[in-house]
Amino acid sequence: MKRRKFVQAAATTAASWIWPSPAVRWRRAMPAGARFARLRPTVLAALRRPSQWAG
Amino acid sequence: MRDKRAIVVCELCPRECHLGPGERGDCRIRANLDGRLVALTYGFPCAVHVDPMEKKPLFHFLPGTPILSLATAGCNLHCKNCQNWEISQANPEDVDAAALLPPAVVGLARREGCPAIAFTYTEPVCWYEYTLDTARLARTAGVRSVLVTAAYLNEAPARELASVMDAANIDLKFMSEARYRDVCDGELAPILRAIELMKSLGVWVEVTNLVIPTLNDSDEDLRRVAAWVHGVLGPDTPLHYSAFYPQYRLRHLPPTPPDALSRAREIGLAEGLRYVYAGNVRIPDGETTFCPACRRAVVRRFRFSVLENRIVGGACGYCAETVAGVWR
Repeated sequence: MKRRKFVQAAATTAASWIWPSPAVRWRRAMPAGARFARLRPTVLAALRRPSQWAG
Repeated sequence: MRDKRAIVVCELCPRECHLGPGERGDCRIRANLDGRLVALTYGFPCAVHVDPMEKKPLFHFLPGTPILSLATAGCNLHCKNCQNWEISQANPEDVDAAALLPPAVVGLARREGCPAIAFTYTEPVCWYEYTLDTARLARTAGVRSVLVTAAYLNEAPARELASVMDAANIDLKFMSEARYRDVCDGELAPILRAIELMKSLGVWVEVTNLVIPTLNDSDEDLRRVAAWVHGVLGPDTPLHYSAFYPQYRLRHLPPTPPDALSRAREIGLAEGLRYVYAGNVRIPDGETTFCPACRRAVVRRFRFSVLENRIVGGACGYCAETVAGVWR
């Protein structure tokens, strides 16, 4: 029963997924040769929050 | 010993870093990779926000509108008072970033209802190619571009940037070469040239001077900034004297007292400037625009909000005198 619920939930949300995912698009867009140790696509989540930075 | 044949010279800013294979410039974000100069943070902003225009600060450019503001890591100055040192003095691999190529930035600005994009927070001059491409694309899409910069760059790139910028808030930190060297590890002369150039090429320029106790808060220091702005950029150029708060490597200095900002504003007005503001601190009418003819308040602000705007068609709503700026 629990398993079926999970499958249903996945099927419902799958249609609204963006493909490729932002993470995949981000990895593809990385400039060749650059080494980024811990870049994460989290910045946009904070878009509408007031900026903590000056300027 | 470095192989001289493989050295790449970055001609973007007056430092003109000579980069051996794999080396990065003083800004940390421009590198010699396989004999090519690569902008490492192109398309990878570490800060993206919708800010009020008044936060840049730009008081005579589309007041009361939101502006999509972004930055990547990197700066070619190393100011001891930097408020954003966690990103400006960081390696690109040490900060979180998003992938946002120029078309996505312009699309985001439109989606968020922003009539302009600001290249700000760190030093957009260093991520020059990203700034330039985004601003070019923005112009074709009817979105305006704003540069918030310390203007430490060479003439050719300054000309190219000016060709795609609509407005700039430029930090003029000191009027002394020695102070620029000691506090910012930079030079005054190229900065003055770049500011003058941007103004002459039609960019709407507002100047900010951070007033730091003991470093540049004497009457003479304040007067020299105002006199230069008045003499070179003209009396209609807005000048923002801004309050300092202990930051980064100047934590031993006190914050700027409000009285010093009031005094700075009076000195700027006495030098003949029409629009002088005291920011980052609450001073009565410190952020109010007065009509240069009838002296009535035409734009009243509180922090980053516009409370009242009496500008009609670029002129005072009371006496019809032109108020310099880009109002729509």
